[in-house]
Amino acid sequence: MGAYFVRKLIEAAAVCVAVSIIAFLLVQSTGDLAVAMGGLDASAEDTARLREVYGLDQSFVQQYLSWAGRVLHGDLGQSYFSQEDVLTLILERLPVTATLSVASLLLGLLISIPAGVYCAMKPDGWFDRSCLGLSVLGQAMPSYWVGLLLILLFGVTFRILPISGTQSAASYVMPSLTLAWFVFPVFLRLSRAGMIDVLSSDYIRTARAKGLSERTVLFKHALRNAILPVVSVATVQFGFLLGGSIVVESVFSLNGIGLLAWSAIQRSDYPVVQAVVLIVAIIFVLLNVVSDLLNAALDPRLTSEQ
Amino acid sequence: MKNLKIFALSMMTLAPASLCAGQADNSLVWGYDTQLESMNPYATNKGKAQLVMRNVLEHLLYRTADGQAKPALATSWTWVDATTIDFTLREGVTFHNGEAFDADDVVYTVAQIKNPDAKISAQGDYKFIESVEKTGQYSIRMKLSKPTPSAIDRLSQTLFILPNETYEAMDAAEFGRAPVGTGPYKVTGFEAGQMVEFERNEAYYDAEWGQPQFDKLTVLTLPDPQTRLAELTSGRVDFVWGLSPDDMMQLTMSPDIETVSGDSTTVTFLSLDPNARTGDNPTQDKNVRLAMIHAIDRAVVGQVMQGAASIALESSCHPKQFGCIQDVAGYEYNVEKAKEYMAASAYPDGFEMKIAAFTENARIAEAVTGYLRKIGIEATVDQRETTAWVKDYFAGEIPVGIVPWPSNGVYDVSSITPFFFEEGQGDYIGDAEINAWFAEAGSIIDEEERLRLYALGFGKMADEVLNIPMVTKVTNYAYRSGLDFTPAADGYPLIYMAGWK
Amino acid sequence: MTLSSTSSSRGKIPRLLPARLAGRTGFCIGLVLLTGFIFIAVFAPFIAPHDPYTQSLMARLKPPVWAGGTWEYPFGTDGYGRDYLSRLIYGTRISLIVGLGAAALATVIGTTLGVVAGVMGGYANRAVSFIIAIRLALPSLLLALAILQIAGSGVFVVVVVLAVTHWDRFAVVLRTASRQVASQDYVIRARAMGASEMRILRSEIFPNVLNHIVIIFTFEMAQCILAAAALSFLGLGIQAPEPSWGLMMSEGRAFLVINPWLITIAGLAIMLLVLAVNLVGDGLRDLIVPKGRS
Repeated sequence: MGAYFVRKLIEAAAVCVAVSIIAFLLVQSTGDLAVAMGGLDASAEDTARLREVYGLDQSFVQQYLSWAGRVLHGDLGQSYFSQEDVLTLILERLPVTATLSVASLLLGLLISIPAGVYCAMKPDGWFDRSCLGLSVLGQAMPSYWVGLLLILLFGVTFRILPISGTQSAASYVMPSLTLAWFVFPVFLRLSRAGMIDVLSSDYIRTARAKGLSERTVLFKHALRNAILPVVSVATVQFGFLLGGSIVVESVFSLNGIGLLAWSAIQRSDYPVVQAVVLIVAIIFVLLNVVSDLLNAALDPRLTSEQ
Repeated sequence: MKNLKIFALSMMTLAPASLCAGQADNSLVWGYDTQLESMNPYATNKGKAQLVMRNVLEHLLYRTADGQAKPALATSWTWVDATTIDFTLREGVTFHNGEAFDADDVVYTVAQIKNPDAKISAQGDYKFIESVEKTGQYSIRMKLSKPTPSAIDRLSQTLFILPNETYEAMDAAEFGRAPVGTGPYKVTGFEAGQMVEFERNEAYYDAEWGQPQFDKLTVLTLPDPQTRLAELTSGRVDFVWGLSPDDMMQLTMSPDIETVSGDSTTVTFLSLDPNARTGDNPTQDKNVRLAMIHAIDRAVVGQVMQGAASIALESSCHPKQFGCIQDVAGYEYNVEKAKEYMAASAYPDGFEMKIAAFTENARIAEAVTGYLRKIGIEATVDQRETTAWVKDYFAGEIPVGIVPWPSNGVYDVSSITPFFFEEGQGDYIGDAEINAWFAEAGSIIDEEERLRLYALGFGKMADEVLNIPMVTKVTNYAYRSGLDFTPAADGYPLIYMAGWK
Repeated sequence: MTLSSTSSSRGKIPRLLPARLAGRTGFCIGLVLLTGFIFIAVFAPFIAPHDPYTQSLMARLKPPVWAGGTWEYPFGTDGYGRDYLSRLIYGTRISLIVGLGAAALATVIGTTLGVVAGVMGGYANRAVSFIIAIRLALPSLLLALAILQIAGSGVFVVVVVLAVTHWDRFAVVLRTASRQVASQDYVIRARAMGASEMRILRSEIFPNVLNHIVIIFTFEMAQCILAAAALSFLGLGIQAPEPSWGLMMSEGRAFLVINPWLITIAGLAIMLLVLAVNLVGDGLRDLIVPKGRS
């Protein structure tokens, strides 16, 4: 087990390094930091001077290495635009995105898994059909449309929820609903499909034949196997959500990681982009380990094999 | 549809009076479109970001709503010669933290900006200032790097005076979070990218324009235009700007919202590549350029995209700017003529064209594609991120693009010609004669001679159709009824002059 | 040799088809809708009453015929005075190409990686995990922006961008699923009997993970159409004046109150197409995957 973790950690580090190099390349190819800082009205000398002052005239490798060197010493650098420490910027905004992610994921899972199980028990029943219908709708609407409709309904017509910002817990209701609306369908479909599959499999039939109660069969044997794909996807989804939803954050003016990264990408503010990318990478790698462990714990067949 | 419209309207108009807190507690919330990363005015060169900072930090001069430069931290000035101005500074002014204002602060500020190692985005904006020397505790002499006719005008828009002792003791990021100035409002809270909160500076000096009115002022960034509108109608925000004519029309249906259109110094033009800077391309053919300029109904584009007050241009500069000669060869909207020119060109069967644009200028580009398709040019919009557009434009890689130019509110064409029509990275015209005329006009004081040179330059540009001047930008505002607000002629309204009636 | 086992499962479908179809109204509706969309896409020039690109700024924002408009423009006109119905009809082409193209490309990438990792395990699994981790850790938009910046912004580039940012779910789920299948007794038995890896992949693994592929394909096709719309929201991707539904919705946002039909009609079109895809996907899954493994 120890060796397993050491190997995982080395892999994790490798992923982070690879990601940071690719991200560095991508940022450089999307724009030019000196041009972004100078703006449209900067003269050629201005831009050249900015390049020199900030060390942007160095080669790609030099720039990357000096960035990486600083990071290894725990210094994520400063934004080229606000001159604020990148770590400060991220720590300011992470709670917003994290709250949103947890809220919407929980909302999505709490509704979709029980619904999926119930659907699978009576496939093609009225509940199953309406759930599937709802999930089809959920999949089919662009998120900013849903966001706008929610704003029109709860923010402007009834005025019971704040439209934008993060002043109170109520501010998170509409954005979380918007995001949950989009994670709900995939969880519902996966848990339903998994459940139907498992329920028709041999070993559930065996379990039933052994005379185990329906409850035991359903929750002890079937659910555990049926939610395997859900767990995989939910973990991925969580990491995805933590990266910040640019569309939802921008529609509801939530100052989260998504907007931070987006405006930094637009301006090629690479210390900010790199830091966000690195942190998201670390979260992903950790979540992947968690996902693997959860899968192993939930699937007795996988455990017994290892 | 009718029901839906009534539903939508009722949603927008059902504002209970209690929610209009702005007037009740004498505060104002401005729904802003630009993110403020820092409140350090030298960390950015975006006009819209600096506009917010003008509540806190002041220039030597300020500009009235109709565009006059008036005394602010300097009470008077005299031109000694073409490159020297003497300023008398205001006495008895203190910064928000109590530091006294005097000539040392001005000298320090200019030294900060001119420092070649300074991490300042747009030193180019200050290139016209050579140096500043202290001639007394409340007087300075400013040396200009070359004769700059627009210097006084520029000083009412740029050069935020920093408190020398305070700034020296802080780092740039710290100052960016809690700036200290002499302005009518003090910063009480700042969340980067999200909002700035101000309160009235009770110790504000007896300024020419008056005294700040609001107890509290908040600038709240709401990047999405629909969210801004929704927050205005929901009552959380009292004032928004940067609206389209369509937004304005929607809002005229709300009884408690007032709308007003103001001018700006921003113009847009369609940049072409007659000199083959990007390589061989159809716009090298004068017949193609003539066809294009006849094909586009610029007046209608301006009205639909900007508003009724938008002006269709004949030269790529704002008619309000000194030296902007609009009396040049004009081209009417005439599709038949356009088709004739196309038939006479080297491309009688048309060709494909990409029009590169960024942000909301893509809407103008899209309208242009519609007109060009009618004469056989298969035009599409190529929307880019701003930085990517700027980078490619400077690198000479955009054969056709929409260029919006705000001139940073400067009422002189020398704020536009050096960037696009003189030798430089934004020059797609590449005409030695025009370059020379404009360069000379920008560096002499004699007004008559300047006008003559600008007339020559813009005249040749129009004769040869070296680019396609489009329209002026209209700045549209909407706010809760009861606000006493005058739009600024340059498109940069000073909100601190507003108040509730 | 390979025929024997595959034909047995394939052979059942035609025989069962009418019987299975009978009880599946959803599948039928989906099939009809999708056929309809494909028909519209193919014959767009013959159906559309106007040219989808012709603007008339003087005739902009005309309401649809049921809201006081005229039959000249049955669905009204957009912010540039273009006939909305014609744009909607031509937009079917773009949505189908983007959705199908991107999902198909994503399927190829994701399935290959996922199955290879799941079945072969060991170093292959680790390598694929590495690639998936990089893909997931890298913000999609940064990747999209970089590709669009370098390669320009046509429909084909958007397809590539969407595929490159949407294959991960295939890989993640199929790795788990195929690992599960590969550890089943019948696979181990087949391997012990000397069946080649290719054969095991084709006749044992693939049929048993096909349900996952179909489910995810329909889901990702929907996601890709929606992601194209999100790119349009950010001003990236398919460029004006192409009649793309996402672009039409994005432009319609500005007229939410004046003419709410603009965003509603394009939104409904997207919804209907996705609905059709999902219904067909669900139906196909039920048809392909035999109830119970015999």
